[in-house]
Amino acid sequence: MSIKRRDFLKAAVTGSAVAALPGPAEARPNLEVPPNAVGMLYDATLCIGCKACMVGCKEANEMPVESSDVSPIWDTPMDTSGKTKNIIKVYTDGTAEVKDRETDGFSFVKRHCMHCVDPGCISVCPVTAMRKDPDTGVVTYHEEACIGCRYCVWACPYNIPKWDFEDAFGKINKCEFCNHLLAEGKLPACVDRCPTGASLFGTREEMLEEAHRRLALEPGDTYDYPRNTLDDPNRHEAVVPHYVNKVYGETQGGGTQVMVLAGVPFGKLDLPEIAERSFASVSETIQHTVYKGLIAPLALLGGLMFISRRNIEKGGTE
Amino acid sequence: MKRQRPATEPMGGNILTRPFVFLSLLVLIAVGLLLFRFVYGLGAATNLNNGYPWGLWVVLDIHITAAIGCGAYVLAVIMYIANNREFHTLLRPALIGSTFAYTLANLAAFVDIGRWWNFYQIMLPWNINLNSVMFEIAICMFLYMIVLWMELVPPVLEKFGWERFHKPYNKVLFIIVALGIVLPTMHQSGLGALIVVAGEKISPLWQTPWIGFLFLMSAIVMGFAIVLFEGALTVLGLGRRLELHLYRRLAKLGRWVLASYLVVRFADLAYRDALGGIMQNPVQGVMFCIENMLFLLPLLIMLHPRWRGNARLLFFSAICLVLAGAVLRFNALIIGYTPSAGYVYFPSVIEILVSVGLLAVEVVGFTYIVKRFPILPPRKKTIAPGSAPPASGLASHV
Repeated sequence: MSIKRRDFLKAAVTGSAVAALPGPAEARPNLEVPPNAVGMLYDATLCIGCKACMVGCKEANEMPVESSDVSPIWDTPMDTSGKTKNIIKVYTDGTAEVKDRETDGFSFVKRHCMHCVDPGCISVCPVTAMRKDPDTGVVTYHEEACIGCRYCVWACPYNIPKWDFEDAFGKINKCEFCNHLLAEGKLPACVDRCPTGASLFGTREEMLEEAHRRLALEPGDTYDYPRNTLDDPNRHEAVVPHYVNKVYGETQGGGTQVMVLAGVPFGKLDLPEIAERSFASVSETIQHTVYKGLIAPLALLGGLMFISRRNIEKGGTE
Repeated sequence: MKRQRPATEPMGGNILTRPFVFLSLLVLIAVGLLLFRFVYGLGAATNLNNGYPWGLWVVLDIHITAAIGCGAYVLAVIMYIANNREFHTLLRPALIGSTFAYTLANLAAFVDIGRWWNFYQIMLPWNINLNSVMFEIAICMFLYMIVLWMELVPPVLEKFGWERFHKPYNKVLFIIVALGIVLPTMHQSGLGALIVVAGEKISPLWQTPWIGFLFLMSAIVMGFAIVLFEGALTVLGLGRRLELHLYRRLAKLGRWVLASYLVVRFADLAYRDALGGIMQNPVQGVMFCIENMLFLLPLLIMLHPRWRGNARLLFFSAICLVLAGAVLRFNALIIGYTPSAGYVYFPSVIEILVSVGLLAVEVVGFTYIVKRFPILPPRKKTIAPGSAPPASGLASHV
């Protein structure tokens, strides 16, 4: 009995260890920023909450209005959803007197897909319905392949992809950086509509530079803020606010192509502090350590076939 | 070579007993509600939302049901790999249970995906994403379901008297057996590894690189437990004789897997210094404690020779362990999950009734098959078919 038990344990433990151990193999590093990565910089301190970007987004993407009001007068979604790809939300505290202040203040925040450098949604999708443009880095959704498992909804660290639960034959909805407009050489609709330059479009590198330039400014000084893009002549002068000294999206989860500046801590704006190593790389490291070239499963299969064949010949089938 | 097949025979007896009719009714209700789900969609049928895109169906009907289906997996390892044949009489009933469980889990996956008409996309080579844990799970679970069906060929051959096919079948049996061990090993760990990519959205009480290993080990534990559980149910519900000596030895084997599970579980928590998570969120803390008490208590029972010998305590342990694995899965996927602010989830009546209906399919199907197909060994004590077992239940059969 004891020998048999040992055999069983050996088989059970080594078998499961082969297939399930997060082994010490070389880790899959974060993905690199694509060569011509587009970028967006959202400066919450410039945002006046006019929601022109939301209107622009709905028009450009042919999305219907959505009302959370009793009397539907405006487009008032509560969150990004099956019918809303972009939303302005507001953080308030106490008396909410001063803009971009954490206590007794408020801040707007624009939420949509961050276009991660190393996106979780792409890593998890069993049918490759989420794809990242190898050149621009835009993350797009392809409904023709999607089976609706909602793993992307579940796994996204920013809670961005949304399933349309109102549609019996629904699909995933998320911001695709107005990829169709980019193809025509146009700006993403939200950037195009933004009157204050809170949403800015360029390469990721340019946006990162501009963000650091702003962080280096002295609060109280004035700065000539660009609108739409860095080289657009239509600029405006404004007083430099107290920025939180961090570019959100520079490193979070391996970096994002949409980056955010704000006057209140990012955690208050639903932008969680995320480690630099992407969750996709952690998950894929485990997956590929276990399944590398299918060697371990095939070896296990071969071993089991050998043993079971011998045992069946020796001892009968049941 | 001398055939060592133990004689099994259909139990016979009346199919349409009162519990059978009642459970069939539950199945019918579920079928009706599923029609509703397919016509009106997930949003209408469930309380799922974009904060909790996965709910009862994913956790109970896919994750837990598949883990409950590990009885055949565990017995295959014991019998064909460790070459320990003493449990042979348990194999066929376990196979029936596992086949139902996996068939239902695959069905539940189809019910739960929002674009079910598109399900074949997962089989198209140009869509394959080898990085996706979900891909691995979907393929392995589907293939394993087919393997289980193939493992059920012998009773069908016997039932219809096609004995001449036994020989060729036994020639390839070793392939079926090996696949039937590799596939669950892969996807049961995958079902846990699924949560790794959600990163900090899952409480550190469950978010660990070892979660795949833990899910696999706990699925093996549940496999042991479900064999005990099913055994006890056939004693209670079908008036079968209790083979306590077998279950006792099964418990003796299973406790080592259970003990290793708990060692890895707590070593990992200690290493990551994650136990503080119990204090941070009261609901998660309480659920964590319930989960681990349900694992620990049976271990204590199984370690004690006298307690292990008690049929009632053994049955109680089995129930605890099935629940423990279930709670672990609920915790890792729902309780430990932090959605974006403002979302709450509790399953809808439809979700619950569909889940109940799917479980009822298993009981109804099991009962029907053991009465009509040669699954169980011939009974040694005659008890009138369909008659109620003695009130004292388990112990009186010992």
